Amino acid sequence: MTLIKLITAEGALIEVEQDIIEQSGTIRNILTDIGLTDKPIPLPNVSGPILTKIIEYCMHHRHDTSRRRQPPSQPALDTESDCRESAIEEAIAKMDDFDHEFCRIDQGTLFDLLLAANFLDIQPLLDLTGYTVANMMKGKTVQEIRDTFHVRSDFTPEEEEQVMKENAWCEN
Amino acid sequence: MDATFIPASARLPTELLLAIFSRLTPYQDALHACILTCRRWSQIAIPLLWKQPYFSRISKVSLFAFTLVSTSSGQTPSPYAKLINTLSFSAMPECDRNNPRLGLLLDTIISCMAVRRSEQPSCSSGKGWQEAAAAPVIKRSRSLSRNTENTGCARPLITAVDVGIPGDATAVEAAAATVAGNHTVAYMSRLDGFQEEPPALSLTMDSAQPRFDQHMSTCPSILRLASSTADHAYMSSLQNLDLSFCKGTRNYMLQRLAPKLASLRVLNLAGGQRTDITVSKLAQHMPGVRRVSIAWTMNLSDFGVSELVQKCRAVSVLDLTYCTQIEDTALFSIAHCLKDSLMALSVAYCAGVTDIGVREVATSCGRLEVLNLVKCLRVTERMRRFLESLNVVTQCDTRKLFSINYGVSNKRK
Repeated sequence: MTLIKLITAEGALIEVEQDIIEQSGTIRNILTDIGLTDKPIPLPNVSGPILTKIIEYCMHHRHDTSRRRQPPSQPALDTESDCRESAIEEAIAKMDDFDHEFCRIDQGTLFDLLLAANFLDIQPLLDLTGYTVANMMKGKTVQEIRDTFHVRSDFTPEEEEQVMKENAWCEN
Repeated sequence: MDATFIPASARLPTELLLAIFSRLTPYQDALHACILTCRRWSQIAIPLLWKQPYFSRISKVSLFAFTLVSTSSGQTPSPYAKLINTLSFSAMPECDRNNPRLGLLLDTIISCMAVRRSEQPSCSSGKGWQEAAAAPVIKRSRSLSRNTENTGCARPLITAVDVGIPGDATAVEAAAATVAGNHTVAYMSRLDGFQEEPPALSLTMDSAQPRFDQHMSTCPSILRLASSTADHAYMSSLQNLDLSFCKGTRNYMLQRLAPKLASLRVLNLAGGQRTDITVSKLAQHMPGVRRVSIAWTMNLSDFGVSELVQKCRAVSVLDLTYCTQIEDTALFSIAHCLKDSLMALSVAYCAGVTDIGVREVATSCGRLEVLNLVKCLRVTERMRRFLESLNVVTQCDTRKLFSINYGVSNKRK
């Protein structure tokens, strides 16, 4: 099994088996473009602990190819946006205990994972982390959301009132 | 927490926040809370909330319409209007769906969204696809005013669209549909005038079409009237409209709104007591419509279906479940007009449908995947087996497959 060398943001060298890290679209593309190489691939956006987490995730999902999103083999009935929506639905349905356990981490790490999954183009992990963050937003009041995500309101009182008024139709 | 602390959420780029918020689309209150959180979030989440508004009661529709009106100033439409992509009223309780006020509110909302084509700069940036969807409609309306030279205007029409939106399959397809339907344009414009005639006349329409044609050709004044009223061309961001079982929106209201619905891709009119005339009037304004449901419409006859498919050649999913008047003639029209686009058709509970019509659809529509024949008593077992040999599904749950919210609705509680 070929080992791929990766360099984390801190400059540490990490070796991963090729088939594991090829779940990342970015790495896959690099390897296709330059061919197998002994030279380490630098990942300046990914820190060591996060990369370890990601490798843990990829190890667990090493053999389930179904998770990797394939281009639809036959034209689906819905050629438009619905396709994407149902793909996400499917991805959520496929999440297992490992996945849910995997996301029981502090918020900073979760967001780091989300960013890294985006950078490395690992769609299932992006779905998982995005879904987890979205779930954290559900059923909360505005203040609770601000507290959870440490967002400070930058609305002027007038602006806030206007936004509230113009979107009031959706309140239950 | 020190002063340089950057909250995790602030590190997310806009596209990731957008991806997260879009997962909240079915949960309107969560999206609403996000909008009120801070400026950045509200800029990202407002378009998502308005893209697919969801109403639990008619009072919400009313507030929604009021907001649209109050945020528009004079001739400038509300900034929210162009965000709306999908309108669905079918989740409201029955009394609200059948409330005549719903028709008025729909009128207000759709009118707020419709922009007269001439007022729009021809090369606005960003939403290229909307222009693409609307472009063929405009050309077509122009051709109406000189409907004596139909064949003459067919060619410039295509090139105009081609040049305008290179490589956009939708536009080209729609244009192709327009050209294909061009011979019907003259007839359509007559129909336009025809509907301004007393209703007594319209009753003769489905049975005596040739006579009607003859009659109309002797009425040049009506013809002129028709072309002048049909000259209005509207653009709108509305692509999906679900009016299923909304009897509150009356047929005349829908007919009046038809020109403003030109950009529709998905239309659900199930169980709304629609008539042939309504369907036909709507169809002539929506050449780009892809999915149509007119299920549970006992008044709909073969004539209405034929009119629909002749004008909307891009229809890929058509639900005619429980349209009990439908017979093989409708299927022949479908087979003829939709042979390149049809993927799913339901004629469940249509007792008038027989093997002959079914075979015609199955053999001419190459892309057909679903032909729902549940309780079609006159379709034989042999025909069903034949369909299965073509890998066509003959029984399915139409509610999901033909739902306007296919892929969305199941997320809503």
